[in-house]
Amino acid sequence: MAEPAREWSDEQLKSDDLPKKDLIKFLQDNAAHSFLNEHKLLGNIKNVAKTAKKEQLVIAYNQLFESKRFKGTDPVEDVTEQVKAVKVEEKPKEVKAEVVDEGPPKYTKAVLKKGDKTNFPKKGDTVSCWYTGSLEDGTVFDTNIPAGAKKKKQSKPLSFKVGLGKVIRGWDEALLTMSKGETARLEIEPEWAYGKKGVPDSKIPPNAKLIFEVELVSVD
Amino acid sequence: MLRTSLNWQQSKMSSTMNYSISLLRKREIKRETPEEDLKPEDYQQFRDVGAACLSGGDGQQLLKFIQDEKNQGIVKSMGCGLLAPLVDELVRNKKSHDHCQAAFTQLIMTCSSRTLLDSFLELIEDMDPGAISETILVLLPHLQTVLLQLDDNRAAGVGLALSALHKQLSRLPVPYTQQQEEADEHGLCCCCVALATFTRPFIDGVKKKDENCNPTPEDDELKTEILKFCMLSLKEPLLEAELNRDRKSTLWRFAVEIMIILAAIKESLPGLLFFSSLRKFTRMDTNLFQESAACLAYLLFVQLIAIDTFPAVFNPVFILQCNMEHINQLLSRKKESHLLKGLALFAKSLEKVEDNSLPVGLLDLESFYSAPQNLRQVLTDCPIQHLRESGLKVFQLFINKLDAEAKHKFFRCMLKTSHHAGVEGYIVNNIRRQIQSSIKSEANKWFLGTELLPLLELVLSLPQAAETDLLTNMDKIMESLNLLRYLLMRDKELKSDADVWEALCRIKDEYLKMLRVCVSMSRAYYSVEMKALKEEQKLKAKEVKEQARSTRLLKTITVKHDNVSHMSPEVQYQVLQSALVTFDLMESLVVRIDEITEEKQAKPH
Repeated sequence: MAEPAREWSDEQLKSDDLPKKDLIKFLQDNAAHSFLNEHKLLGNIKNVAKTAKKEQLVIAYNQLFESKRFKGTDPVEDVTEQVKAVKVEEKPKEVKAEVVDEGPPKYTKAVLKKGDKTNFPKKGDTVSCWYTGSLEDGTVFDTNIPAGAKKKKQSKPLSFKVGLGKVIRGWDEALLTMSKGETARLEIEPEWAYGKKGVPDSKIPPNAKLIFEVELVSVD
Repeated sequence: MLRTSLNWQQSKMSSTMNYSISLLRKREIKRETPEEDLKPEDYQQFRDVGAACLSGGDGQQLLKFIQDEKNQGIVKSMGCGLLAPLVDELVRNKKSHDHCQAAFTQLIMTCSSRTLLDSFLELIEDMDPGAISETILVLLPHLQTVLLQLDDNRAAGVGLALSALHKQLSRLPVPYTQQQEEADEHGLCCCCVALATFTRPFIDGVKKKDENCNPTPEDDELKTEILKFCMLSLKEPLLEAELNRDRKSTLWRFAVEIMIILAAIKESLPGLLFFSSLRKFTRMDTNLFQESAACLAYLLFVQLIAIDTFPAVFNPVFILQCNMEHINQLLSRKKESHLLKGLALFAKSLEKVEDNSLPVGLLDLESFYSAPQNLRQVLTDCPIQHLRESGLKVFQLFINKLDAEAKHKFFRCMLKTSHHAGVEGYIVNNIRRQIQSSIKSEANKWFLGTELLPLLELVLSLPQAAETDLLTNMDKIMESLNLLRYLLMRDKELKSDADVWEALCRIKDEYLKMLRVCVSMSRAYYSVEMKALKEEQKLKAKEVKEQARSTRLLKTITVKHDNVSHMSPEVQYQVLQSALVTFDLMESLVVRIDEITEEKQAKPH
């Protein structure tokens, strides 16, 4: 396997002309899964761009060529154990130790920002969330976060009573495990989202796995 | 005193005007606050003078008068009285357009905004019902200016203006066909769009305040007034209109505008539709706005206006549950525009839910009980065929989405409450199909076994026992007999539970016994009727012959049976004949069932 070429020189890397997204894309395309995981570069490019600083990305880029941990250099077993959203052809069956009534939970949660770990919502509590929902291919189908940081003050987060089946099951289950202030990335299987039908009017195809980044703003 | 009998044809305007003005000026010099001294007659006089000027073609003179510096005092006190005549003139006479508009502009600059607003409101209330749209279009831009000039209580002013304008607008008939809408004979469509445009500066103002994060209670009040206007508009004319995304008519564009306005004033759609944020209104208003909310649900979910702004996280069953209230509202009215929308919303909401998924608990909700009942009424009573046809599709779709226990309960409910053989027959057909699928695929305790029995008792029953009218109940009876025949053919599967089979046989036997009696009684009765009819015809023929022979006027022929009348004898005969055929059909089915029973009994197990 030929080593990928160095696309950019040091000056180009440092320059503002090179957007973070391009760097991230390059890294995601060429680096081994474990490398990406260690450097927190997995997932939706937009989300990674939000959390990663340019300097970090440049460092990662240089480290990649030093360590030569390109795609295909990971042992196979490691790759299958990873849970993050690299395109997987076949969904591995998740067999968890604790079995809930109808089987294992059909969603996964990765905490992006910790909450206060004290205020957890109970069934029937009113919660408020900012969220962005996207499909596996990265298309954003819904968000209530207004463009422009300032505007969040004038908009209101989505409020509803949690745990009562008003929202898709993935949300109901996940939010009960989140604490106030927590931001998490949820990957919800279609069975706990919109299933076979999808929601064509909202651009959600049938059997779609949905990815939400949710911030639990308040619990009442 | 001013002379009231003024001869307009003879005197020029200027002299009359000047005469009036000089009298008023004399008073002005004497007092400090001339307005207080002015009596209603003075206002009336001024107004009459102005009106006469305009109708006499002296509009230019009037304009000069108003614009004259010296007259500003008078104009400020009494100028508002000229608004109504100016509007009248603008509506009727295109030629005086320019100077009337200029006069308007001047008055708005000079007079107090509060007084102007009061005059406008009065004007709106009293407008000529034959010129509603023309009047509204004339006064909107000026009214807007006045409201923008108001410093305090602007929100209340805007609210009053919008509700007064809307009240007038709702008197106009809503166009029903595409041609009517394009013609817009009464100007409703262009007025709606003009009203939406009218609200824009107020909305923009509120938006800016929001952006700078310093909205005041006054801003909130303005948002509430605008929300009220949106809700009023959703009810009239939008609920009455035919709106179709494939044909983006003027009223469609108005609907889109309303949605844009709602977003601009930060009204959350889930709030309005699902979580009753209408609570901020008084109870009276909330009732009025039920229909508005229903229209909004239709526009969003069926016509997909602003659907991309609606959160895609809600559970489809929850959406159906919330929409059921709106559906029920729409189906409870007997207007085609409402029913069409109700049926479409019902269908759309049901389609999002998986088959066999709605639990029985939902049927306990008031809206889940009432909406299907209203739907059933559409099927049985609505004179419009295409609504009955769509209604039937929705009815079946609803059944399909219920889970087994819910279907069972729903079928029982319909058999008990519909009192309509067509509906009952349809339900019985559904029951047979459920039993069929229970036998073929997944055994379902609700349609096999002991649970089946209460259902069968309702199916295999005659409402008035032996005196049941077989003709009106024909649909149900035929379906019931078909079901019975099916059950007997599938005895192998059903016999697995001996008690159930025994009970089934008992029910069957009782039913068939009763039915046979009923059939023979009915047949006898109709045969008698038929015989009597034949006799009557013979008698009539005889009498006609005799009449032809004699010159005497015969008395009117007595009619022996006065219940089947208003039909010609030929038609009566046909009716009786087809009744007898029906009885034969029923009887042959009963006979077939008996045959099958015997066959099965004869076979070794």
